Amino acid sequence: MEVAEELAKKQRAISVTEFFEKNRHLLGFDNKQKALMTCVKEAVDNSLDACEELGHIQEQQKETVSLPEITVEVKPLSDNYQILDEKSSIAQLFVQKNQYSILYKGRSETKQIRGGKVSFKVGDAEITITEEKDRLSATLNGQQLRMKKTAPTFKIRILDNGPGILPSKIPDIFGRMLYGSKFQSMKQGRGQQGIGIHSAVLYAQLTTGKPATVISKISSQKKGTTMKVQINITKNEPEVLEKGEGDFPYEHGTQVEIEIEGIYVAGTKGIDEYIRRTSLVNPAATIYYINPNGDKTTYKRVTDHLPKEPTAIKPHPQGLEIGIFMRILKNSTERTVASVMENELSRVSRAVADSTLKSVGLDPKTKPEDVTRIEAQSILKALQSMDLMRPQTDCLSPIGLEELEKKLKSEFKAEYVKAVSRKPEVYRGMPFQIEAAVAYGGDITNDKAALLRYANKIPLLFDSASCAITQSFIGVDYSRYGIKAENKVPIGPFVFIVHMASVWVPYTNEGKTAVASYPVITKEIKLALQELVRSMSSFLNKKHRSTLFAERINLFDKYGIELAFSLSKLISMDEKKVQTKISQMLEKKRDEVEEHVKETLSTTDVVSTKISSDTGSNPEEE
Amino acid sequence: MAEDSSKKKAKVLEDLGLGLYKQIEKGENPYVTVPIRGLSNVKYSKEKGILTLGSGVSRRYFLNVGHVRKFVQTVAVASLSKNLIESDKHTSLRDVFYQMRRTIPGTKVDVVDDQTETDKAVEDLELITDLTREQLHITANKNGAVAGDVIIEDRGDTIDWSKMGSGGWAIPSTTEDITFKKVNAKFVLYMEKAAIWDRLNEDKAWKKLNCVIIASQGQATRGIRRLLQRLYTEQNLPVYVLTDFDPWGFYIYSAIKFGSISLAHASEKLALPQAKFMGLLADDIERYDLKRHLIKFKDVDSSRLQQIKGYEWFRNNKAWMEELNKMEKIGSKVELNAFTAKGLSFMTEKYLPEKIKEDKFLD
Repeated sequence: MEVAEELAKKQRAISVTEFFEKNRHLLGFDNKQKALMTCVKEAVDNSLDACEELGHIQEQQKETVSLPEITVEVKPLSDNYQILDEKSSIAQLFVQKNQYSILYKGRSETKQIRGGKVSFKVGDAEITITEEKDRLSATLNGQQLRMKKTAPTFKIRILDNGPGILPSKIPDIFGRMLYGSKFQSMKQGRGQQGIGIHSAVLYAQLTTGKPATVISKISSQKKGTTMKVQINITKNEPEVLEKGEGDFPYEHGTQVEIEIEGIYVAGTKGIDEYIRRTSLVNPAATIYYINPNGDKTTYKRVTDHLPKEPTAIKPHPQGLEIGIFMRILKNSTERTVASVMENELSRVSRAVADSTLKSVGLDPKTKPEDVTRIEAQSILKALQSMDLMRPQTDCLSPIGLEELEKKLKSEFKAEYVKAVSRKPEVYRGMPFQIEAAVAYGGDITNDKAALLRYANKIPLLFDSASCAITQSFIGVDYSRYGIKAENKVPIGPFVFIVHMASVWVPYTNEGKTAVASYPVITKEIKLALQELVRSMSSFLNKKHRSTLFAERINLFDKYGIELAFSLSKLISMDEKKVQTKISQMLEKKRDEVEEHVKETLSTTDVVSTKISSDTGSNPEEE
Repeated sequence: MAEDSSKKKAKVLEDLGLGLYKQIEKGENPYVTVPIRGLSNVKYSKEKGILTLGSGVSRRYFLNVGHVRKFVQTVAVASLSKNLIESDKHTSLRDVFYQMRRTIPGTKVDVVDDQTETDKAVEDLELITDLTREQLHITANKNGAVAGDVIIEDRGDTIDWSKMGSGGWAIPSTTEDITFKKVNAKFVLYMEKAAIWDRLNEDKAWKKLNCVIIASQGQATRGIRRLLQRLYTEQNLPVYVLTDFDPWGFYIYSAIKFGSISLAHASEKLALPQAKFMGLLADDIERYDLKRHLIKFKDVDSSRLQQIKGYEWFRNNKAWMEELNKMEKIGSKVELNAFTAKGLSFMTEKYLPEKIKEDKFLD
């Protein structure tokens, strides 16, 4: 073998793992807490996309639509320790419920836990693990060693009733980095960046060495196909370790299981919250979730209507980057540059293409592959300076207002819900649409409004401050609508949802956790929020009126107590007797009083609850 | 206090209560009739030269969102006052507030939140029952000071106003019952500012000018006003009012002379139509070279001036209207304290003697 070939192989081997290592943050694996979340997220996104795609096809073929049903289970497998001598780690210990596994010099041993002491014979070494008062210690041939706790191992299982995957495609989908159909598509989808499930598989492989276990079934099959898949890091090729048949709970669908090291946290930045928030914007999906503590939660679907199917559009010159334009030119089957522009770009007519090319001094009949980078750049610039029609916006798939309101109502048992959507808009040639919703009261108990951010139906949990959604949210003047705010956040049991749907969401960072603040985007978000708050304020006003009504009706009962006390003393009579007479009078006058109170509410300023005085007098007098 | 009159007063209060009880018993919405206080119901009587209360009344109902709180407060004050009268005890306005500050059992409602509420309730009760505050056994805080060559008797004690040191005699809330034993003074000088009084007292101005000097702190209390009135009617002492050149000072003069709007019902006992204005006038600014001491009007000053110009008893007084117009034109005020800058005793030695000598007063 030639040296160069040898080197090339090495280079390739480095490239896959190195690519991963260098881009951990970009891929969502910066730390073990986020890694666990990312693995779940990738699998869930895949499942939801697949289920919806199936549903849309069924709709087109006028078949019964199978609605998304997804199970997510995150199960702790073992607590992990490193066993260290003076210098370095010499072994690893995996503690499961009733057994210890030890990895020493590449050899693995497993033993049941009996009593406080367990000894392993690994080769010529004897390792003893002792448990005393919940603390573990280890010796190697009688020599005391140190132990260091590391991230535990979890098994993640995601099951869906989607279309399933052809057995021949399973290895590629799970076992080849950067394999995917969604990369660079001009269509709204969850997995915009195409990182995909294979990076989770690779991460599992790097942390626990375990392959992914996949079961998939397409309806025609009797049984599901099971496969254990891993990535051959040297070749970036899938390796199938086992293949067979297995039972599958649905007629069709996919289940993937991976084992990874990770850290589970509860709370607003953890998986529990991620799943809950995902369920809110997927009203047609039922999600079963089993968290690491074994708690089972079911998020039920509230509608049988799948969201509208997103269609792919051609790139609009306004948002086109030179690299992509070059690729379009290169890959096109069109014969001339003019026809490429006409047929593969959005809103470019033949006349526009011709005149653009003329203006940059290029023959429209030039073969696309002959266009140089510099020429392409000037074509693009010229195109972008033209007054082109805006891209069509039917490519978007919003959540749907009715569905969102239903979901919020059922999830929070909210007293009030309202969802609004803006008309599609365009930033830098990219169509986008804002939906927003608010829920009030019910099970919501927070003192201040919570803001849930979404981009293409994916919850954004991190980097809230730098996000256009947050910035627009705190930019609304809530006091104008009679809603009190503290630090620009409304006070009260509110949950606000803002969703940006777009063929391409502009993120501020590689981690894709916050939406960039294009003026047109912040403007749209703000308008949506204002509309919400307006409707909210009339609801709150009504609510306020009804509490005020009750308060004012009760006023007379309350002051009646004091009147009985003072009046009885004034006329030297028994207080109880006076109280009885007052109560009888109040009872007799009930209707009149209600009428009177209603009147005060319709004529006076409701916001000021202070009872006004009936006589005026000069304030500076004695 | 005579036994008879106490019984009579207690009966007035009890009758008020019984009237309400009867309404309640009949299942009616109980109310009290309160003469309306405030400008709309205040008339200026040309013959008497004082403000009087008109015949306008309002009904204060229990079953009314806007009235209920005041209604109950009025009854509570009536009950408290009746108790005071019957046990022949007096209490202060402040104490009335403390006694009424309580939470209605089983609710989160307090009967009163601040003293202005009880003060108003007491005033209302005066109007409803036609009994004065003093007759209701409620006193105000003592306020103001007096000095001069006068000996009086108050509750059996003999008091010499010329021997009261730097603080003077503190004027009690009610001056109805003091008696004058010896009065050696030609006139009374009343001023709105304690600081000016201190200045004059240190100069022994009352000795030099042979007068009585009286100060309040801001608006004159009823005790002070009644004292001024009695010094005039019983001792024939002319009363001069010394105030700043600003709308507020002019109104203090107006309240002494004609009576005040909120106490129009008590004008007969408090107002002193013969009081003369000795405060700063527009022409004095030129005359005493006070230009350097002008203080620009704030919005509140201007609007107060407009209010005063609208009062009937000023509107129909040509001389005063001229003065008020001058003030408006100047758009600034001058405080009496400006004289201090001219020399500590400027007022005692120059301003006051000159004014008295000229004997020209705005009436």
